[in-house]
Formats: sequence, C-alpha cells, structure tokens
Amino acid sequence: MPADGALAPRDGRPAESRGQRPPDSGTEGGAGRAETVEYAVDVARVSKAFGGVQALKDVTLRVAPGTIHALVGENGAGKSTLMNVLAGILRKDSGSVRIFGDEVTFGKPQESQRAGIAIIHQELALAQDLSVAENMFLGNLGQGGLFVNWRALNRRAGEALRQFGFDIAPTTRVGDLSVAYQQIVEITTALVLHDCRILIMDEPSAVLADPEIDVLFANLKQLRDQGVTIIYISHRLEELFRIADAITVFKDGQTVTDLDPKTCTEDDIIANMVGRRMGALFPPKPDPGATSDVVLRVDHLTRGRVLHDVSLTLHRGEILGLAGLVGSGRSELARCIFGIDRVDSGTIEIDGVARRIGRPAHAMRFGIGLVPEDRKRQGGILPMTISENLTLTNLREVSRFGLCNAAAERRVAERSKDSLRIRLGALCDPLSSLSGGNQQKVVVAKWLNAAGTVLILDEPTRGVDVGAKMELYAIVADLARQGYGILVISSEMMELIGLCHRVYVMSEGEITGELSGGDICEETIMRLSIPKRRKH
Amino acid sequence: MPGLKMKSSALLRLALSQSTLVFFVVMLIAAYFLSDRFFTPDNVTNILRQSVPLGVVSIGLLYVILTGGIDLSVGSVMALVSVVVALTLPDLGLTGAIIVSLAVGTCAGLVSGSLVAYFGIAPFIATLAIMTIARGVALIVSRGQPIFVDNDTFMSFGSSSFLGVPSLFLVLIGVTLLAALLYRQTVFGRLVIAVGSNEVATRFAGINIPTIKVAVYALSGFTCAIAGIISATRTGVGSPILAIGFELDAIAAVVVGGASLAGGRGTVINTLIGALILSIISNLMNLMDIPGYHQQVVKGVIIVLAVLMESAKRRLIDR
Repeated sequence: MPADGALAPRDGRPAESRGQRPPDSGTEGGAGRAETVEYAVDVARVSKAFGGVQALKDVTLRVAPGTIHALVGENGAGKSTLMNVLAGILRKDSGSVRIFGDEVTFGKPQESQRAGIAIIHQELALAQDLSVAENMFLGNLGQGGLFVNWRALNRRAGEALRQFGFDIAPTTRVGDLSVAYQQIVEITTALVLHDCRILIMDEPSAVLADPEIDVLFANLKQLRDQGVTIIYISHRLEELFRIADAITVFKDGQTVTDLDPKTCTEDDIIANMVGRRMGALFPPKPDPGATSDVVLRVDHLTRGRVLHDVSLTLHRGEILGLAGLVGSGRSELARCIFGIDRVDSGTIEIDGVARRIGRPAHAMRFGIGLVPEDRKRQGGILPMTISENLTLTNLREVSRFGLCNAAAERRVAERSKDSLRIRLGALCDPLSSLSGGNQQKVVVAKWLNAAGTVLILDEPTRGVDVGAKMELYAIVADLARQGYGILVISSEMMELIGLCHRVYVMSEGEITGELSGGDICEETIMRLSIPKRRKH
Repeated sequence: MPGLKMKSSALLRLALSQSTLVFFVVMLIAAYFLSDRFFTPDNVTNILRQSVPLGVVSIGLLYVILTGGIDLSVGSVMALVSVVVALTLPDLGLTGAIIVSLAVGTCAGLVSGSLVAYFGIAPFIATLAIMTIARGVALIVSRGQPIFVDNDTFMSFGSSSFLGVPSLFLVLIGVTLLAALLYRQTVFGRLVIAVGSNEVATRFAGINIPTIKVAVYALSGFTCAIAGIISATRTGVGSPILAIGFELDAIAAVVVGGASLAGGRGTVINTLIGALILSIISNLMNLMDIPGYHQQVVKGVIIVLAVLMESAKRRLIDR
C-alpha cells in the first residue's frame, strides 16, 4: 500500500503538489518535482511467471517524473505484462515497485488507481451513445443525489477539459468524436476525476491515422509539461522520435537497454529489439512483369455520402496502395468491392467481366479475398481452432458430401502453416493462442486457400510487431510475384511507400490522386489526404 | 508430494471439463439414497420414456442456440404436430401421416428461420410469433378438442421395447447419434459453430449466413415434429394444449448441458445429459411425494446451480 501522502483526499487540481513528500519545493509543476523525487516509477528486479513461462525476468525500469517514457519491444517481450503489474491487474512474483518513492504492491486495479496510475487501453471503454460529460461521470452521474443535474455535470466536465487545454464540448456525443478525441476524453477522466499522475498508454496510435496522431501528441506533450508522467507503448518506431524523452527496449521478458531518442536511430532500436541488425524493413518490390492484365477495375463507384465517383484499376502482380485518413472512404471502398455494403451506382469488373457483388460469398466466388481491418472481430474466429480458421474459405476441398475429411483438412492447414511460416503450437489449438502477427498470417492464408486473383488487405500490420511486419511484407511481395493483384489499405505511409507500385490517395470519399514510382512520398500523400474545405 | 498434487489437479481438470456428466452421476447417487424406488426396472423404464420428447427437442434447439439464436415455438409446434398426426392417421395411414407431420414441423421451422435470416427479425420475437401461431392453428384444426388416435400399430410403438429398452428411447439415441455426427463430422456443423462464435468473420469468409440460420430453425422444427409424434404414441391423443411452457424446459436442458446462450459453445451429448438431468429431477420429486408447486421451485434452484457451476468452471479453465 502506498503511504498516506499518496492517499490523501484530492482537491481536484491536477498533477501538482503530489508525490513530493518533502514539501520543500518552491517551484511549480514538473521542474520542481524532478528535484524532490528521483523517479515517478522505479521498478527493480521484478519477475513474473505464468506456469512455466517466465514473462518478466528481473526487469528494471526507471521513469523520471514529468517525462514521456516509451517502451518498445516485439509482442510478447513483456511490456504489457509489466504494465499490467503496474495497473494492479497482475501480481508480481518478486522484485520491488516504487511509485514516487513509495514501495507498493498492488492487489487490484483500484489500489493502483489510488496510487495515481491510470492505464488507457487501445480498446476504449466509452459508451458511444452518451455525451462526453456523461461518460466522464458515468460512475457517479447523480453526484451522490438521485437526479442528474445536467448543467452542473456539463460545467464540471467542461472545466476539466479546459484545465488541460482540451477543446471538446462536454455535450458532444462520444460516438461523433474521432478516436483521438475519444482517447483524450478517457485521459481527462483518468487525470481529473481519478486524479492520476502517471498515465500508461498501450499503443494509442495503432488506431489513429496520422493527423489524429498529431492531435494526440500535441495533447500528450501539453500534459507532460504540466507534470504528468506518461509511459507510452508503441510499435511505430518513427513516432518515438517525435514524442519520447526516453526509450526502454524490451526483449524476451527483460529490459535490454535505455536509449536517448535525441542520439539514437530507428535502426538502433530495431537492432536492440531483435538482437540483430535488420536489413531493410521492406522486401524489394516485385517486378510487375510485362503483362498488364487488369484483374480488378472499379468504375465510377458511388455509395451515399461515403464514396463518390471512385475509379481505379489493379493489375496482375501489382501491389496497389490506398492511402488516406481514417474515414476517407478507403475501408468503405473495400467493403463495397467485397460485397459487404451495397453500391448506389458504378461497376466492378473482375478479370474483364462486370460483376454484381451482393454479398461476400459472391466476391469470394469471383476470386476476391479480404483481410479486414479488425482482426479479432472480422478476420478470425478466435475460439475456433487454427485449422478450422484456415479451411473456412475452402470447405469444399476438405470435405466430401458435406462430411469433413480430417486428413485433407490437416494437409491444407499444414500447407498454409509452412508456406507462410506460421508459428504455432498445434493446428488444433484455438486461434486465440497465437500472437497478433501469426493470427494475421492465418487470416491471410485463409484467402490463399480460397484460390482467388485479388487480395484486399485492410491495415494488414496493425498491432503487429516489427519482426512479424517484415514477414508479412515479404509474404505480400511474394504473393504479387505469384500473380495476385493486391490492394493494400494502410494508415502507415511508410508501409505504402515501401511496399506499393502505385498508390491512390482518398479524401472525403473521392480519389484525390494517383502516385507511382518515385512520386510516392509522405509529403504528397499527406497533401492529397487533407480534406479540402467544402463550399456551401 | 508434488506428484500427487499434479495428479489431483489433473483429476480436477477432468472433472471440470466433464462437469455436466459429473453433475449427472452425483444426481444418480443422490437419487439412490433419496428413494429406494428410483432404481427399480419399472421406474428406470419410465424415466427413459419420459425423457424422450425433452431430449429430442433440446437437441434440435441446441443447434439454434449454437448460432446465438433461440426457438420459443418448440412446445407449440409439438402440439400442432401431435394434432396433425392424430388427424391424418385414418386417411393417410402410418407412413403418410408421419411424413406429413414431419413436413409440418419442418415448415414451421423454415418460416421462423426465414423471418430471422431474411427479414432480420430478432429470433426471440420471430419464434414468439410462430409459437402463438402454431398453438392457434393447433386449436383451430382440432376445434379445441383432443383428437384420439385410432391406429393400433402407431399406439403399440409407444409402449414397445427392443432388447428390454423402450423403443422410444432408441429413437432418442438415434437422434442423438445423428445430431452428434452432424455436429462433429460435417461442414454444416462446423459452420453452425462458426456463425455462433463470430458471425461477422464468418460472413467475411464468404459463407452464406442466412442459409445456415434457416437450416438450424428447420432442424429444430423437425425435432419438434418427432417429439410431437412421440407424444401422440405415448398418450394416444393429439392434444392442442400439449407441451405448454415446454420451451422453458428445453432451454433449461440445453443450458444445464453447458451450452452458452451467446452461441458457439455446447455439445450434443451434454445436451442429452442435461435433458436426462431435468427428467430425473421431476421423476425423483414425484417418487418423494413432493407437491407440484414445490417441484417448480426446486427445479428452478437446480437450474441456477448448474449454470453457476458452469460459469465457475469457465473462470477456472480460463485462468
């Protein structure tokens, strides 16, 4: 348990004046604190095992107060386990954790929260149909009374948001906010209402497009300058140089090294994460070949207000990128091509034949596969076995007269496992037992078993670690070489630049540009992505 | 003694994974001590006969529940079928009457399934509507009167035995085996689980979801028809007020068998055991002369216990 100082009733003011037990500091804010307490979080020789698996081995982590401290490492390196220990979700086996100098052992999340730690998960815990203020006070809407005083609620929420300089109206419906602003609502709730001084953010940028990340970063920096300590987990290495004050690299349950983002390079980080220097992250682009067969042609496609007059062509053996902000119509276009949503007008040709695609089953029959953006909800069936997932698109090959043929099924599953180098325990384990990267490989492999000609990949490397990313890129290049036409939707511009032959950029449901070869660069993509102000 | 500890925890795991069976065995042992009439040949035969309609209907209902749906119309469809079989026996003969009856039950399921799959009506509402419609039609065609069965072959099947086992129970065994085969070995069974586990991902894998949904409701209607016919052979009447509230017993049997109403989880064998458990509870309470009103309370309590045990088990396994 933390000492009394950390448990004292709060006065509603943020970060200041707490955590500094000798109250001798005259200065305000983060600067003064740094002198009084050396570390906001001081983890020493912490270990944690699950059964026989040692998830954390003598981990040491020191986070200075009022800084943004980034944690990087491949999936399963131990970052999340350590954060769950700090958040009181898991108990450590041994070692010590000090929060602002006080030795703590958290038994449950509430204890961690009382010590001033908040964890913001990637999946936000907000009720989409309630307002910002209602969400912030959800645990105590009546403020102790029986009835809700909406005006007071909105005023208090507005004060809280303004206090940190966040520009959000408390009466806005949360579902109408972009994901970045929803994150900010959750952060504000943690900071002001639960009075937290240490913020743990688990891959917040994975669900954001680039401009939204700018919003998040600006706000995080502002919080840091007000003295809040932020632990930031991310797979996107390039962004660490923009935001982190210090970087700690995890590998195999241990902290490998601390790096200073001012002096290190992305290659240094990667080298420490994987224990070796990596070559290029991307494989050489496959030669599109002499053939210019068009495998997919979309002509003047329009759907309501989300897609307007979209046309594109995809050739055999080509990797085509689709760039744009979240909500620009990229995923909506993929959904229309795959028959999930109806189109109002326009045509889709596959291998030169115009097709009406009313539902995914049609799309599959015509040779289109889709690896959807949400792996857990749309891509894989987590409780079912790996081999059942692999053969779902291909049940005809593994059955006869409606009866499943276990031998044929094993053959198909083994083939997928070998060709995509899926790392797994047993093919009859549930899909949920795999890491994110390997789950994604299963979802890709499922479509290769369906033997199509067009593969649409929507955010294929979201939430996947660097090693698995490289493998997925190699797989994509390989599939293009085999003759697939591949459409890659991504919010990571580097991914599109490194992987694609051509890139279309979308904004507000329209295609705003087509880039190829050396023209594909961040500046141009960005310029074409930004919505133009509409004239009324 | 780490070795011993390992063994006992492995044993615990086994018991947990087969908790429905454990519950069943514990109940049999309890029944042995609670009533000396329980394990008499007559009583056992009686239980086997009584459990048939519930067992058959629960197994059909399991398929609906596996997709994340529900079928409230099972009792009414049973009643309708019992009336239909009694009415058609004199004119169509045994085979004809049975075929027509099975068709009527299956059609009721097809209608429910179509409402759910093609018109997007919530399963609860769609099958609630079919429940009252089927009951109404049963009352109309029977003019509200029980229809007496006039066919000796048909009647004798209800009380006949084969190698000492009631023929009706053999029907239940047959239905169970076929349903288990469908569940484990066929593409259809696989897709039912897939729909219940993650409907979106299954649709995105190019599977035609409506076909699967219509099929499970039709299957449920088919098993209701079997149960309706069986009731008619046992009692000798087709009754429009047969099996009122039966849907609740059937849902209880599926849930006691460890299936999840959210879909995706549940097995045929455990559903059969669930139905046997409920039948035995009724029988035991009758033997112990517990009044009917009290029986309802006890039954409810036991259902809650079984479900609590199931969720406790989930937590233990997931940990």
